Amino acid sequence: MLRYDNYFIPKTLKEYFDLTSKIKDCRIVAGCTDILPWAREGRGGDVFLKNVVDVSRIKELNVFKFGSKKVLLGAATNYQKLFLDKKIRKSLKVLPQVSVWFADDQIRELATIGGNIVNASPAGDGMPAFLTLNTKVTVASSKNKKIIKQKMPLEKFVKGRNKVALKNNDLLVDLEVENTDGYGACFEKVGHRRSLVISTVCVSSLVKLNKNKFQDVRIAVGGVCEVPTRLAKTEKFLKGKSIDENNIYAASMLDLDVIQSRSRREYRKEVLQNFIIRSILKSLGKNNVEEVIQKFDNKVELEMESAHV
Amino acid sequence: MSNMELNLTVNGKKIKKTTQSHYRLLDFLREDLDLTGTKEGCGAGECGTCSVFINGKLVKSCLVPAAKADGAKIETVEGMGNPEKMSEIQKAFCATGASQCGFCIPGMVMAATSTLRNNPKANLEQIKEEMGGNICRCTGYQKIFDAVEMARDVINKEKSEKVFDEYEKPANSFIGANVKRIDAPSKVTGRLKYAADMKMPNMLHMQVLRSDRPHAKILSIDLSKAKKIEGVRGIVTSDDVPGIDNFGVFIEDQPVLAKDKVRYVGEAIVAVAADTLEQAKDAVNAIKIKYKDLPALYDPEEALKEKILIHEHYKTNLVKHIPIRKGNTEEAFKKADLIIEDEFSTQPVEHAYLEPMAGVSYVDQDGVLTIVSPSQNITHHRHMMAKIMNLPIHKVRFIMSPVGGGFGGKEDMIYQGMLALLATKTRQPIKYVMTREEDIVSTAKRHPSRTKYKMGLNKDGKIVAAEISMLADGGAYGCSTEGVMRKAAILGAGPYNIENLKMDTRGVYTNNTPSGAFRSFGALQTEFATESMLDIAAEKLNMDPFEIRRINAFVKGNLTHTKQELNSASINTVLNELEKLASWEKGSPQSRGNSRKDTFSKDNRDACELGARLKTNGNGKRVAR
Repeated sequence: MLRYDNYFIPKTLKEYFDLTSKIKDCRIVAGCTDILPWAREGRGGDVFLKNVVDVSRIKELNVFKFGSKKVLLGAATNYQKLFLDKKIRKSLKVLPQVSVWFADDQIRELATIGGNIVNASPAGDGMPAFLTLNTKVTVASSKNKKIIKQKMPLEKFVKGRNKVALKNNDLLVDLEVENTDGYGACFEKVGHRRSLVISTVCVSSLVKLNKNKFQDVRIAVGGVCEVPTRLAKTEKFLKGKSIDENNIYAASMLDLDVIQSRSRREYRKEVLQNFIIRSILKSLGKNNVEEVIQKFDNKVELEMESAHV
Repeated sequence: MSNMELNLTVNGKKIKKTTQSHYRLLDFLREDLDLTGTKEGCGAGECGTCSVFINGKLVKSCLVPAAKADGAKIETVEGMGNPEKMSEIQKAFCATGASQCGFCIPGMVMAATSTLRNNPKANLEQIKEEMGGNICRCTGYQKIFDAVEMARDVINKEKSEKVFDEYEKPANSFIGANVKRIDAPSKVTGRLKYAADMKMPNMLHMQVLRSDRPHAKILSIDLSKAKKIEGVRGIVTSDDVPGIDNFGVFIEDQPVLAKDKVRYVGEAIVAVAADTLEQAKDAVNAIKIKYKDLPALYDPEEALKEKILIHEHYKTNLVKHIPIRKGNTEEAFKKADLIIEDEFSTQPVEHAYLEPMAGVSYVDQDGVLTIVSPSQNITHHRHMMAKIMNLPIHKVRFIMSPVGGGFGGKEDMIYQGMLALLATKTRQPIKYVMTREEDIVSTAKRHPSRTKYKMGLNKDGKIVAAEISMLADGGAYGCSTEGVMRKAAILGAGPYNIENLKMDTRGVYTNNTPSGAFRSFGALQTEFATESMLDIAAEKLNMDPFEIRRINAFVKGNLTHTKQELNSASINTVLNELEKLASWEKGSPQSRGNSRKDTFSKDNRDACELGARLKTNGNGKRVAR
């Protein structure tokens, strides 16, 4: 059972820093979809907190700026928005695909992209997708009553299992992602009941073509190592190469040593390789991508334009 | 404990209320507003029994701190309709019989409402996708999906409202007739009160300290700190039991609270009643227990060696051995054309009813101890309770609250004894609601089993003899083990006429979670072995699996395994019907595909034989590809 004395909901960054500079003993929350199930028998048990600060309504954490090069997503953006927003569906195709695999509609209404990143779970689904979008995060901190904002690549921000580059009352404010309009995208994850499953392996990929050659390939993997990571050798191998199943197969073997998991290594290795192949093929618009996506789709018609269209 | 004020709109009503700061929206709705249609099935966002709308978005209210709902518009199942004026979705749930135990149904109604609000033309796949966050244990979902599709069609004017009322008047029998379920409106509107939904004046909340050891002697229980906690009104241990302290469905071997030693992880040791749930939890956390660990038994084979005894005074770990002897198997095996031997095992299974165990107890104005709980066995519980509490039978009353799914899991009197002790001690009503985790760790499971099987058959598929020996893990207490062993023995050889049968089922004590009643009650474990053996035999004898069963099936006049003469037998009727429904392709198991018309075509695989891909060569012979 989670118990606390005070639940604060600041509305601006200024309010947030004013509050957290006064109260020292506090826990920062956003969607609360992790902390409530955690504070139960067998996990956190009975948890007592003095103060809880809910950052999900801070104005700066709810920005949504859609540019032709960059898109700014507030850290409190929830996964259901990623799933439903028409602009995101067109130009950031990988995000609605992650969302389909991210819990269920009801949990997606609460769960935030910032919370998912700050938790820094090796199995977090958001991270691989944001890695492929070359995400830069903004961290706000307070010094002498001044709010200082610092931008850094997502790779630098997440430092390890449950470790991120936040000190004291620093706050993750937003994520700046590349507009990848024209890219084919895919997210793959192992699991039976999509509403619940925690990734054993997940792969996110983005592919851009130039005629019949790979112009840009980005692949990231989660669930198999301390921190989700891009597959540099696979990406490098494919860039500039012609679209050929043999090339894709050859590339799929290059980064399998990324797996650090202690359990089910062989299984994960096999799944990872299959996922790399499948996600690239699907990003290319092959293998009935539309059919698969449409099955998951339940609201707005998702037009999965393949990369070469 | 601090408070906060909430201002919000709930089902159209403006509410201003002071509540506990740490409450979840679920707690606020249930405890402060008595809107108990919103249920708690898991408390971890997995089951969807607590789904409500916040500002039009469906969420799981167990994952929402109440403070987040300040200023919001909330809609709960109570706002969707009432039994006299139901929404189309609620009417459709009644019409298709979608509400069985009813515990998941308010959440399902909310999820269905959200689905059709977001997408009024949702097709079946979209309905399944959007309702994916809600689970049901009874229906298998078909009736729920039927209901949502029916409601959608009525809302879209594609079907008349008359479909909600197409019930049949049963002629001679209710079987096969689509009759109106009387309790459906109360379930689909969230009005039916389950035990956890009940409240009484001056009611106390009970919490339980449970063992974290599989097998240990209790050296001391220190209650001094717990007693000092504000709001604590009563603490009970095994010492507080006034009568004969044991219960069980068949063998009464389980104390209300652990006596001298604990026998499994999750066994109750101390129960506390306090003004609030939080105070009761604090008191439980303040209790100190000193244990001396004992060597533990986890393997039923080891249990038979009896180097460690779970219940010393029985001088054995054997709970029950049921032997059945019919004919002479030894002689019959000598004449068999085929003898097959194999071993089968099954695992423990949790019932996973959506309503966690819950109950309310009180001593009424006439001194009658009353227990309200979703018990599947109240008469037996009443008799056991009278003995435990040392009361005449007319001073004990059991009231069965609506059972939010049982599947056999609510046959044991696992927590009612603690409720009785505390109601008697404090003379205040007591309420207890298990968390999902507590329920899984402390309640009985399906018996895990190992079955050794030897079957002898004639060339024509007739079983001439069978020797079956099952060993089941009964866990720490007897519960239903004896009955489960009986059923496993009586039914395990299946509905087949076997003239020579040697059947033994044994249930033993271990330090595992107790095993108890579960749908099919033991027959599943042994029949699984029997049916598997028949499939293996069919393959070895090159026979059709249906045919080998027909040859052996009971007919009128046969003697059952326990030598009762049958006046009728319906297994062949069932087999014929099944064969038809399954579009069964005749033939032995190793020849699947030969007579199917859809094979050998351009887009289909060829038939497989013994795992090899075959083709017909120029001479009409089947050869490997």
